[in-house]
Amino acid sequence: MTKLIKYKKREMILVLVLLLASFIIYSISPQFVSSVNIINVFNNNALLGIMSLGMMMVIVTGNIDVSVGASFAVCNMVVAAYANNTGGKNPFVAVLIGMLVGAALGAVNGIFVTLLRIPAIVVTLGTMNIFRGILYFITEGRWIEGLTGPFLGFANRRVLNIPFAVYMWIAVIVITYILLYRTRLGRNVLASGGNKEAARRAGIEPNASTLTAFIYLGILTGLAASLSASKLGIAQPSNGLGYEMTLIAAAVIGGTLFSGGTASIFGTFLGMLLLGIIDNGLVLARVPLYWQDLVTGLIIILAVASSAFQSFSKVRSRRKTIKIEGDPACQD
Amino acid sequence: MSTPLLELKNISKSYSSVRVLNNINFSVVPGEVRALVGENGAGKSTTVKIIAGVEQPDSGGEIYYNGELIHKMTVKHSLELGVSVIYQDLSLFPNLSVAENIVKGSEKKFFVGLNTYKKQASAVLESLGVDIDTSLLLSELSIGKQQLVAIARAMYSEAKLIIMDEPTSTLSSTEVELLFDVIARLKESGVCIIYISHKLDEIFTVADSITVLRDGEHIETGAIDTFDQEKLIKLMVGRELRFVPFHGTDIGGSGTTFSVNNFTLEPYFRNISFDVREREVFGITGLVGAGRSELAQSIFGIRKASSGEIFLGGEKISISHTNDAIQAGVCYLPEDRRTQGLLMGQTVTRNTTSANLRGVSNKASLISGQKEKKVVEEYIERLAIKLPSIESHIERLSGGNQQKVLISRWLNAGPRVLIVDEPTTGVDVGTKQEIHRLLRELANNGVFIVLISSDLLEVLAVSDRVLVMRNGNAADLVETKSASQESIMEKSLLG
Repeated sequence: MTKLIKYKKREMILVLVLLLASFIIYSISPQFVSSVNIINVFNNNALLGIMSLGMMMVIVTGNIDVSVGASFAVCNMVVAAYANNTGGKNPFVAVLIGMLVGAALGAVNGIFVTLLRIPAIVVTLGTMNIFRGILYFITEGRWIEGLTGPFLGFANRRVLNIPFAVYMWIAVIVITYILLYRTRLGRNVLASGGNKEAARRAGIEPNASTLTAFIYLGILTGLAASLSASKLGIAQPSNGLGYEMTLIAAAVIGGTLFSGGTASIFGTFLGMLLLGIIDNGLVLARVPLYWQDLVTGLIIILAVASSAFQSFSKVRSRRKTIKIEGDPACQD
Repeated sequence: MSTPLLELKNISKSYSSVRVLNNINFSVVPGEVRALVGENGAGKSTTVKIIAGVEQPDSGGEIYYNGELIHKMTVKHSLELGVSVIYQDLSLFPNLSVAENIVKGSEKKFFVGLNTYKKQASAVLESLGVDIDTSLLLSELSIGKQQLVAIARAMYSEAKLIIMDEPTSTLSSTEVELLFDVIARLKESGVCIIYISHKLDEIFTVADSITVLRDGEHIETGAIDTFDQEKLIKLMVGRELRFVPFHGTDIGGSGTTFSVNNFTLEPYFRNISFDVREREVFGITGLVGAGRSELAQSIFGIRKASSGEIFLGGEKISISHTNDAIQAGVCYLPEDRRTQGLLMGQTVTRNTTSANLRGVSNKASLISGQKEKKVVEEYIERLAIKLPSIESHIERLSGGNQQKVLISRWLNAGPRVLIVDEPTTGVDVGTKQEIHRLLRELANNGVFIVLISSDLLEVLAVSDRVLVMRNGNAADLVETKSASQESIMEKSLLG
């Protein structure tokens, strides 16, 4: 237990904050703690929750992706167009297509960042506009609606009263865990995020890690976009606006450091849940909409401030590791 | 003699125009402990990086491993061949656990079993005779323990050639004994070790043979019993005089001084005191890790010394921030101009005036382009800076001219004290001489000059007295007129 508190300090704090927030909301509006509402909270945040784990992976490598909302819209429209043309007969293929398109968009970002060595924020700001621009150009802003067949609503189908999308969220959490901690690929991602030069000297190619992370985020974005099309039965080119900020917020609240190398899957899950609960609770408590933004904003700043503090102490401890004077010409 | 495990033939390496290695030739055999020695900048680390595949040698050089020519040594390839390096900066992962750090780079399977690695890592640490919890994060360990983890990592990889770059710099004496035991065991099992150290007593304890490098050249290789300390030092420093000396005259003058009293900042340096007299260039030298740069940075307010006082012309000045230092006229030319000095992507003009923007501002406190231009052109002429235009970006200039721009920046700030840290690294010989002349000229004009340098010839040629630092202590203060490279090197090494 003491080990748990020591190593999972941030997660423990988040659990406490979650409980506290839940209690406050409950005391204002008791229907918060009904199975219907709780399942709703999970269901409403499942898609963002899936994507947040990909965003976490990208941040671990020391990068960022703000094009993810636009990628979501592209995948969303492609999947909907496919489902529309085939009468929604083959949901499995539809999801696969969504994930492939997502992977391709992620690869575009990753290649720009690694091969051309352009900072990720610049690349993804650019691709954000490019992806959405092309989408508007092709669709001329039209929606795709009236999806039918088995595709429609499969993401809402319930087993044990829990929607399919929530199961997918859980599955992605498990897969991300295995990928990041139990495969060489994931360990290399962590290593190159922690110390790029040391990684290179250990025979790890940091660029491969970066590319992997961007593609992984792309795949999860494609998955979420497919689920979204299935849930709603419509897709529109303006979907996914502002997702990037929520995803970054969830990862950062969960303890992912912008300096790279440090991630928490459980923390990211809790971060997403906290944002979801607050949204939900404020609605239940009939708090005006603008207060929601304010509260969310405050939480993000608090989380980022503590994250920055962690980064700072991390940098300090790293400075201690490097006791040698800094001049490369002098390191003989 | 068995066939060499590793053989370097005609290895050279240049960074832009500066040649750091020139036709290096040596070979090592299995079961041998080879000490690689030389001054700072002799080319030891570059040699290591080439063997490890981190850097590629210039064309013409050949690397043989087990008698086979290696066409392109990459990091991956060298790891596969069984080369493992314990880098001076350790090159570990602070965000990963001890176990992961030990196995990183040697994992065989795609899927990682948590417990097997933990067990294997513990086993290696145990065989080293150290007790470290392998589930701790690396950043939670002391530097000494991290060093042991780096050693464990090399052992885990079952390397045939282990290169240790200053492995004992952070170890306690018992840990050093432990390391020597390990080296003896590795040697017995046929592992070859290239051991880099500044500590001569260690070298004579542990090595079978020695290779001496100097200024990127191979000087001598021989069995340990063909060397003694005196000979070794001589070989390390034995260069011919390259610089015209610029010693001062009328030192002392009116008697005003720049004094640093009892400066301490653990673990870098302690109780350092010195006075710089008028018209004097005061040198500070020492090996890497002696604490020279940290001392200078503390005087300048980048780091905060835990105790100590500074007096300038008899008046006490307190510096808690670099701005205080600049206000008081204390300026510092940092050792790594690329990361600590230059404003990359900015013009020569902006680089020159950045430390004193008030000086180029008009009455409304707006920066005047005309004033800037005048100032910059003045320095370009005075320091003979060669550049395409004052509006060109600083990175387009050669190393020597970049350094001159940085010196101009401080001259423009009106220095009373100028601390220059390795002012001539990566600078061609002609420019070195110009910088030496300039330092002397400034000293003659009443600026207190502190010259920090690893280049003993430079220290001897330019400074009047030199403080030798060793492991953060003031080892000795010597008059350069009566000193030689050998005597200073001996003090830096042995005290």
